[in-house]
Amino acid sequence: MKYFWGVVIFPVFLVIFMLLEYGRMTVLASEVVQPLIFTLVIELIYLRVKRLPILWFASALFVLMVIFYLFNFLLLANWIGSLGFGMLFITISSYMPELFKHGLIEKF
Amino acid sequence: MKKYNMAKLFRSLKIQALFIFLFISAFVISTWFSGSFIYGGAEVGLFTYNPQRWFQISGYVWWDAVSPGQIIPHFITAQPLYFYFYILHLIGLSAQNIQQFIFFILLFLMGFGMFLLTFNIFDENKKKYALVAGLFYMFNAYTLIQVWHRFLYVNMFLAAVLPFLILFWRKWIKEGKLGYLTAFLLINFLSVYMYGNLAAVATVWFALSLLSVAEIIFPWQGRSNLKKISFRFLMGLIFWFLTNIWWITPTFSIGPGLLSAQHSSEDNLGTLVMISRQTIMPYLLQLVNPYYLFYQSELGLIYSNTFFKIMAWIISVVVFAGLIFGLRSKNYAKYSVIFLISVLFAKGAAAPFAYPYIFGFEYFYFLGVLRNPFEKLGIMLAIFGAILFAVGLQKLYKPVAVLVLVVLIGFAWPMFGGKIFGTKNLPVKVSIPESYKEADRWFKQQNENQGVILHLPFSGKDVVTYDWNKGYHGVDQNEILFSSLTSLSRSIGIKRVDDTLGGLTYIFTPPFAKDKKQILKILQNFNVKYIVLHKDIIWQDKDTYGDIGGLLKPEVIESVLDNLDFLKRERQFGQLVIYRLTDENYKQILRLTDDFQIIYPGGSNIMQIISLTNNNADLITPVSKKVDELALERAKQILIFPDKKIDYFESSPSAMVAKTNEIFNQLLQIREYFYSLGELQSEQITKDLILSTEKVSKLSSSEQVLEYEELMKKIFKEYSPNLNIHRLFNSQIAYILRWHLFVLNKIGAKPDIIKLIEDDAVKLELLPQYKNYGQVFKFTVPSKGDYELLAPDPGSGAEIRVNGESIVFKNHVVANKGDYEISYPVSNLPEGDIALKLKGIDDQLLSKGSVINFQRISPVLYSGTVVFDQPAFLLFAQTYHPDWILTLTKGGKSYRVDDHLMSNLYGNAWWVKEAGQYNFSIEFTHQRNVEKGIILAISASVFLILTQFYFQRKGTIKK
Repeated sequence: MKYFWGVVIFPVFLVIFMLLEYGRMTVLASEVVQPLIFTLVIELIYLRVKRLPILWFASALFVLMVIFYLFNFLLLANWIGSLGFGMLFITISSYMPELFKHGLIEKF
Repeated sequence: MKKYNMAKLFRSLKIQALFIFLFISAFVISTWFSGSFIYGGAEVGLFTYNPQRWFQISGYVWWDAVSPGQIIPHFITAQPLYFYFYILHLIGLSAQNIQQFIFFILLFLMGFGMFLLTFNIFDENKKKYALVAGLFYMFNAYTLIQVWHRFLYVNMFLAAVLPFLILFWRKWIKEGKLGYLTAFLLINFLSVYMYGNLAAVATVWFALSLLSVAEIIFPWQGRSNLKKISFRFLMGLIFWFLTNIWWITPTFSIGPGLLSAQHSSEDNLGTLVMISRQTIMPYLLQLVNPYYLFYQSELGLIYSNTFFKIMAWIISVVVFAGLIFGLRSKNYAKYSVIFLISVLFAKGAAAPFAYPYIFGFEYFYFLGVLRNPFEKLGIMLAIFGAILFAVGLQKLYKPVAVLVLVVLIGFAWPMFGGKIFGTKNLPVKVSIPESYKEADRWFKQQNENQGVILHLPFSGKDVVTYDWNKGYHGVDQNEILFSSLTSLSRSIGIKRVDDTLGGLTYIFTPPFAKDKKQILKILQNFNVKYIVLHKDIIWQDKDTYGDIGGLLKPEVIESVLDNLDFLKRERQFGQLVIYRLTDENYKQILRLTDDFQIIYPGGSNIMQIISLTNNNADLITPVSKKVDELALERAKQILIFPDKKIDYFESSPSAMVAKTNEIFNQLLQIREYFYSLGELQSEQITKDLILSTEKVSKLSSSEQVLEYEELMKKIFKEYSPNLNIHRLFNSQIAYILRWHLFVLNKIGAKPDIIKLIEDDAVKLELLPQYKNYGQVFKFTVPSKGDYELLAPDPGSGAEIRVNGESIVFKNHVVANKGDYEISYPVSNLPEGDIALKLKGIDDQLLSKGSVINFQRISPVLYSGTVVFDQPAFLLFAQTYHPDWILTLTKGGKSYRVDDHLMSNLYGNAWWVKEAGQYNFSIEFTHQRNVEKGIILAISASVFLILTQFYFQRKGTIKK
């Protein structure tokens, strides 16, 4: 059942992230990548995969963003930075139940 | 005993902090001033100069000091501030002293307020880190660029008081003591100036709402806590509303209409999209605005240096560490979440999750106040970032933490030495020439209580550049420099009025300057008594004046003025030359007229209208109501100008192909133009037009039309006359559509698609309804009549057409009420606009009566006595506004005059039909809302204070 719902929520969240990003579904193939990764993050959280590696990954993306920025690859830095921020935001949002309950995240 | 010592320690830390921030602020500000100048110009003008004048002006929603008068509802929030400034001025402080004082206070409040807020949040043993939060808030990149360098006082005030507002709000919702709410409201009142920018309301309440929600849910403490905090939130909001109602009511009742006249929805969205390209993650997470820091390098090229770029990231890394560590602490987790949400909102339409902002701007006009979200909401990043920075710094080894602090302050190096404002070329330092003060004193000595000072050259813009000692470039502030009479020197942001004012740019230069009668008439219409010629203007400054600069040469204007016999050259102070209109030629602000003509200006500009209204009669224009029948009968003439002009030239197929190619290439550039401005709708329509033009050009049979037809339907569905593509490029769009029709006709496409394009194009006024030839003028005729065509003769044999039908030129056009298209042949196009003229009466009435006396009680209230011998117009030389109300009183009976029209294409005119002697009052009614609001605000404040006393007393008795 868990995997069934896992399959069901994938397209739903993909549509949500596409709309949140572009306000429409008709986009170029390259534009789907970010919403797709955000959907994967949701999927991983739903499947109860550990969230700490996702946070580490988001942090690594920020480091990459800084490096690309320093070397003046601004477009790439922006893409990576926004991906990192999106992942961070989604992951931290997933801790909301703990934040409601305890007012903090005891363990990532 | 231990408790006593701790309390003593905390208190001493606060006192230590107080002195530390006082010292830092005093040191920083002392490095900003090294001479007798003030910082001014740009968007703020002469903020601390002549506070008495500012105080007088800011008390009213109608500014008559800026002739011919304009409505500025939100600036009333500046009244308390200018009261403080006025007191400082009275005790002998100069403009520079006042500026030094205010900068010092603001900088100190930023640091100390942030310290107190953080002190209140942090654990007992971490309170000393509150000092770090205060330092971060004073010297972070956002404060450096957006607060100080941006040089907008509203932002400075907001940044200075927001930590205090959050501090007392937090205490109020947590503890519920009315004293905290009173302190919160008092701080609001003292800093109410910041609400002069409506976005500050959004920023303050967005921050307070986030904080309140965080207090409720992190962690969830049950429904009783929810109810308690919600009640306190609501109570706080209601009291805030009541104590601020004196400026909220006028601002929100007038402001929206005013704003929508100045900014369209598309403008707002365009600004949002364009700004959002600068708030992408790599910039936002450093809290920098790249436009000032990198693109323009306004704070020096050093910020593009890799070393400095790394410095910015060191600070951001500490904030990020604070965010992560903060999430693991009950005390700080809510601030980490608020910071994340603030990032989401401050980034605007930048990725990720870009669309909700765009959606909001497309459908909710009021969101336009946040069209620069980083500037408006970004201060929350600085505040909550300061808390997280202090949290992050706690985790570092002390030497590293000290190094980070050195980096923080080093990054903000322009804060030391006064290089924070302006640029190298435009340092925004102002030293007002002595001649201006002498001229102002001279005007005061004239003891005049009415009349307008016209400042020439008149550029029709609201920005000026002068060659003063330290230069001046910024908003025109003649109303502050000349304080005894009102000043006419800039546009006021209302299209019709600005166009009329634009005539003042041209009439003093050749060839228009030859018409002395016309010059006098215009001066009289604007109630001008004096002219001040500013020979210190830098008319060559292309950035300010553009191509119009050539018309502003003071020497040319001076020679024209010297030769006008109705002007007397009075005095010269430095580069200021003063002229006075002779008494017999001066016309008062209030007067009667029965010598008038009815003008429907349509879309024609002021010089076109002037060229065809060649008599002295006043111009009367209906705005929302029709002109009274009797007034129509008594008008000297009725002139109707075209609403729109459309080119519709028949040309050969080869010429059409060449022209279409040219315009197609222009469309490609137009698409890039809209992309650069972030105007998504116009950009999309341009893209679709390019695509559809490619498609239509490749059509060879009517069967291929289907896809093209869908595209055209989409274009017309999205196309609107309010879009900039229509405003700026309608002639190109019109031509492209003509090419489409040409091809469709040629391939024998279905009549449906041809009709679709034709009907929509006519509806949008892109194509004429009647396929005439040459230039087509569209008129709206308000009533039936035998109209004469005022236009150059097209020459023998040439015919003109009215609604497609040919007429002989000299013939009159007998027209019923309705829309008309009059077209001219290509070979004989008129140089300017044409007009329809209905001849009226020539004879003057012997007596019309007069305004016996009147008094200007305030900028919003005039009263006096008037005698009408015949029905006539009462003219009032202030900008037309429907809320100027004329009330006549006779025999104890008062009535409001409803026939309110526009006079001389900018002012007010009331048609009074019944003869007799009346007492009258003219009032701008919105000011009453301010007065009522003040009473309500005082009542609410008194109620709150009494309630507080009551509970305190009750508590004391219980104890």
